[in-house]
Amino acid sequence: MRLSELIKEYCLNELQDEKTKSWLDQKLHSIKTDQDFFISFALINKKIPRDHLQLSPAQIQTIHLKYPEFNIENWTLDQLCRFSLLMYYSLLSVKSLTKLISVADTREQISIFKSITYLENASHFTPIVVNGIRTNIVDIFDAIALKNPFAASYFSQDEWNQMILKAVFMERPIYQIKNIDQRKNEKLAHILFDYARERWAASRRVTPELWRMISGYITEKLFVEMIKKIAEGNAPDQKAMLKLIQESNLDAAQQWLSSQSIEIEPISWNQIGSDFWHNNQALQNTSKA
Amino acid sequence: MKFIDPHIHMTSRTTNDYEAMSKAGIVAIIEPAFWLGQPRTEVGSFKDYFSSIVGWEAFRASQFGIKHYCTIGLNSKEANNESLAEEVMELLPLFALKDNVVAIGEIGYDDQTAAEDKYFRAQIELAKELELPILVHTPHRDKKKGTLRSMDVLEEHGIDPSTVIIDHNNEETVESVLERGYWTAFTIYPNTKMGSERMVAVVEKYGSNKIFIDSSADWGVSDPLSVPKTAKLMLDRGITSEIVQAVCYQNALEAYAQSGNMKERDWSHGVRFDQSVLYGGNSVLRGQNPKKSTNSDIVDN
Repeated sequence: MRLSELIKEYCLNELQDEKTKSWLDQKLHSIKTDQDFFISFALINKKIPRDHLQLSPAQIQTIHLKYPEFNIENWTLDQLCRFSLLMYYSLLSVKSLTKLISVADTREQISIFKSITYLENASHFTPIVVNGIRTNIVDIFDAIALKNPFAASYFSQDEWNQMILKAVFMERPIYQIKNIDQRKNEKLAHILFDYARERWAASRRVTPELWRMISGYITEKLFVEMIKKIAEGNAPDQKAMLKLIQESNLDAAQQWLSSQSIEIEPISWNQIGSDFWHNNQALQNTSKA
Repeated sequence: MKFIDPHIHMTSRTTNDYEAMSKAGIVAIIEPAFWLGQPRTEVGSFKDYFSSIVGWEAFRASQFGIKHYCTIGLNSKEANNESLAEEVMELLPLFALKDNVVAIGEIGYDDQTAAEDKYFRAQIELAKELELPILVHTPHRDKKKGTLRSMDVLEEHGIDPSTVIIDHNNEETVESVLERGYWTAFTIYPNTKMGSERMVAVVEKYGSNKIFIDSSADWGVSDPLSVPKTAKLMLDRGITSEIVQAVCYQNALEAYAQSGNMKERDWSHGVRFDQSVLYGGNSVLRGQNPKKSTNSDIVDN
């Protein structure tokens, strides 16, 4: 079964009200114009509940087996219905999606950006998603950057780097960005190191997750700068820097490590990120003069 | 005491205003779509304006713990540019269905021209179709006649007065608006509309039934705190807190709750965005304490 058919089935199953169910079913198969599509998309606000899905373990398993990238647990019913509309509208073009976003409210934009990855010809919509990253609304940014494989699949290196830098800047949980390690690159490592220098100059901290992006690209010069900061960092920073050092092939880093009598507990980058995020350490609050 | 300012144009206001409003106890606001002080000449300007009041401005308000709603409509002044008005009319249904839209408005008459009449009626029909309340702007000039005419036209279209807010009333219009069963709003705005002192007298005379106040603060000399300030004056003058609460909070809520989009629980436990959707309700939800959230939510650029 195609993803669109599966999602449609899940949507119709979840809808309790018969009238709403037949409204959606009919719209999925009958929309022929952009205007009808835009209005139907907007009407989801009024017609569809925003509940989390009531799925059985078997239903979750079915979709995980067929589409392992698609995490249905992250979707609410209204979002899933919007996703269906997007998949079933056969005239969906870059032009019509651009127009839809230009008239969409925050909740609609979140649904759109979560959905794009799974549309046929998803790559055609890359400029729309790249533009979406320019938002100042955190929830829209998160819908693109976090738990969403689109950026890693389709962004150019510069676009990817801009997104990561902005995510660090906005203090988003970096470990929730999909395929973050696969798209690490030297240019990004240097951009982030520059960012760290700016923060340090202003007596501000940086997220420990920053070191995940720099790991593998540390040079001797950067290492010397970083190591000066390790003493003044707190526990999460130190854990992250030590992990970077452990992963490094740099002689200076390995020599430094053997000269220290520290026991390093094994910890994953995801764990470092998740610990930091859940302790909700507001970087700005601790250091803003 | 908690307040609602059911008519304020925040796109023209600063973050200082938001801070002061939040401090004064304003928990929810409604931003009616209006003109920007000069006529727009392109439909795209309307689109971006509507888009901003259904998205960005609501986000901005949330940074200060204030829940933001809006109304969508083609205002009477700009209805006079008919070719543009036609294009705007096509946009309206796209925005009127959004999450934070609580009415079609502000619509009605300015110079009471034929074009204004045409688009007033067309938007009344749109409100009927979408089952939304209507916010009526009454004219500055020839106000009394314009107000009566607005009500006549609404009734001609079969609109139930209890779903309509008639705004910018004064001592001359209040009686007939109340009598005919409309929500009767007063704008406390220096120079051109009502003053606080006069408002106290109105409430003393007519009570609180179906009456509420707003600031209509915008790009002109105006005061985003005029609701809490007038509330204080009413209390100082011995008006009961029940009446003040009705006029400065409850009545506006009841009127606009008819849209289905405005609920006390939107702000009673703190204003926040849809973090819960993305993070499965974990402990990092911001906005529980709105003041704190200010730091981490706004992008410094």
